[in-house]
Amino acid sequence: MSETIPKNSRALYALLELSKALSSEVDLDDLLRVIVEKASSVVDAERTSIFVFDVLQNRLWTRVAQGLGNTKIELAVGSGVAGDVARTLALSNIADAYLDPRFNPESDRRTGYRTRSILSAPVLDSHGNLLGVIQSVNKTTTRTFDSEDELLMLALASHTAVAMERARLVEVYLENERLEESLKVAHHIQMRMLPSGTVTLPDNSPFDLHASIRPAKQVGGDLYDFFWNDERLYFCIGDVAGKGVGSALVMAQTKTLFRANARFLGDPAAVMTAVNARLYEETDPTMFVTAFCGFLDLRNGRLLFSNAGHDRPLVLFSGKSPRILESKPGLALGVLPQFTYLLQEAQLARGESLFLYTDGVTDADNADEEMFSLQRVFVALEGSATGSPAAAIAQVSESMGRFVGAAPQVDDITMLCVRYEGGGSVTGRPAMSGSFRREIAALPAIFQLAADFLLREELDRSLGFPVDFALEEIFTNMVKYNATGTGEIAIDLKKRDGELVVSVTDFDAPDFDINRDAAAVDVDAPLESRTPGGLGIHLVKKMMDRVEFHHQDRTSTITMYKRIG
Amino acid sequence: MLDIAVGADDRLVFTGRFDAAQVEKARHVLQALSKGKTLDFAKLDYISSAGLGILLATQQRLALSGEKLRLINANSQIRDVFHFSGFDQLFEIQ
Repeated sequence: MSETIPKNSRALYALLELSKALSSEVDLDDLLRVIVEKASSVVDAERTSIFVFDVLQNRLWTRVAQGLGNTKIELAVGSGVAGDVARTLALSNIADAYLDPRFNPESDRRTGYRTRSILSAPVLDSHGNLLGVIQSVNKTTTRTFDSEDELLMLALASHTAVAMERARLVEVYLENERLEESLKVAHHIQMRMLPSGTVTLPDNSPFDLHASIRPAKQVGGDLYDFFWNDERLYFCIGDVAGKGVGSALVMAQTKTLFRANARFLGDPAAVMTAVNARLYEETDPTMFVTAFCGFLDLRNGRLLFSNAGHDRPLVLFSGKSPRILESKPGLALGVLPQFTYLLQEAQLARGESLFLYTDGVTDADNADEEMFSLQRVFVALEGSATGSPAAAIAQVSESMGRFVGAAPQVDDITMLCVRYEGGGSVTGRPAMSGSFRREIAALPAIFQLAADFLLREELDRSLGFPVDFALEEIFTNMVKYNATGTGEIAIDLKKRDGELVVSVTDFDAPDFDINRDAAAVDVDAPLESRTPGGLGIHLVKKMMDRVEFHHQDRTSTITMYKRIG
Repeated sequence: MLDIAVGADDRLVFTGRFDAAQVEKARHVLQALSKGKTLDFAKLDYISSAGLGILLATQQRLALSGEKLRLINANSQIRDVFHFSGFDQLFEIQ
């Protein structure tokens, strides 16, 4: 082929315009449409089409084609002129289609068109791989396409290649962006699953706690969890083998399994055993999780715990060197279908803290590939001045930061620290409340509120009977005797100083004191003289320790107390 | 929810909760009784004063013709309720 530059200035302009379009148009189809239009104009063709090469099916199909409307032409590579060009990767200039054995008259028959001359060029990427074919048919000014047209066609093919390659790159980029976005969302969801590491507790709280987690990638495999009531603090820490999305999912499952079991089982070893069985069933055999789970008795500092292959926690006390909590390691979760974990015990003295961590802390590398190691954790915790869990974690974090420097974070870094303060119980927990319409049909929702409360406070389910009985009695009386009162009836339940406190309030009630006005009940009266009157209230007073009534400004509140534990 | 079904030996088996919302259903069944009956409370989890009221009315009505209800398999909380209300003197309850 000669290197002569096309003398046709119209052609030059067309190519210039194409270059401009390439830099401004982003949509591939729009670009291809500009190309076929310019192509037809520049080589004086009736129609131009651009075929795309489908690698998987080894076929060509018309992505953009003048004069075809929505009809698509599909060809196998090697079939038809375009198919032949795709096979040979060489330009083809055919004077008379019907005289050329490669030409397939099928599409003419279908569309009613009469193909005469054909100029077809392969569209190749920067590595010489086939992307498609550009094909012009029926030169209008002369009988056949000439050598100038051939050069122009090659230039057009090259523009087409650039357009297609760029579109492919943009698609890959967008896909990555979407993935990044999903990972961001997944990270958010993961972090929301864990309770905030910063906990606000009242001054006389029997414990203090702080946790911190830093995943290496956006989604990680480390977890921690905790919750408490007046008597007991439950906590756990864990590390899923592996990284990325797979371990993130196992992380979520594990945290949930722990929490669900910790609510109902009496000790951490039972929890570990139960979680192990479920994890084994539900995860890949190659997935396993190391974990440590503890129940701290807030009344006396007694710690029950169980260990599934996790790093042993440290016990800290202000002014003393940290020491490793004596414990047996146990098998990681998810390895064996059944494994009975050992229940272990320790005693935390007032002011003593338990420091838990994952191996992201000890294994953190600096630029010289030295590990932070447990040694340095000890050193960092040695100077534990204030002794607060937050301070302890901050000290280790800071020391790690200085050690690691700019080296990238390879593993999730998680720390949890609990200090036992001793004495008192946690007060200030919010009540659970609801408001209910004045109708008997509201009863199931009232019972549900009571059940949820007992569950949250981890109280014995047998308390459900007296609580439901009392609520039903008071509520149904209000509905019966004050059916026309405005507004709903408010019910709230809370735990205060070892007592269950249940109150029912009617904000629009006439003065009616159940103590004063309820009929007296004679439980020894014979059958024929018994009446239901007053029976309910009588029983409420038997089931609850104390019933108080308060009425002021049309608001009646009945409060019932029951000692628990 | 309360379910009342006929069980072994023509007893009535109560399942669920006998609360104010279920009173009409129970009243319907118990009003139809003219002879004594055994009520099996093995699967009865809860009873409120509404339920007690229906049982009392039924027992009083049956007593006029010398009949009575016999209550069996009540759980300990239900038995406590019968005790505190003196109903354990009005009903045979186990």
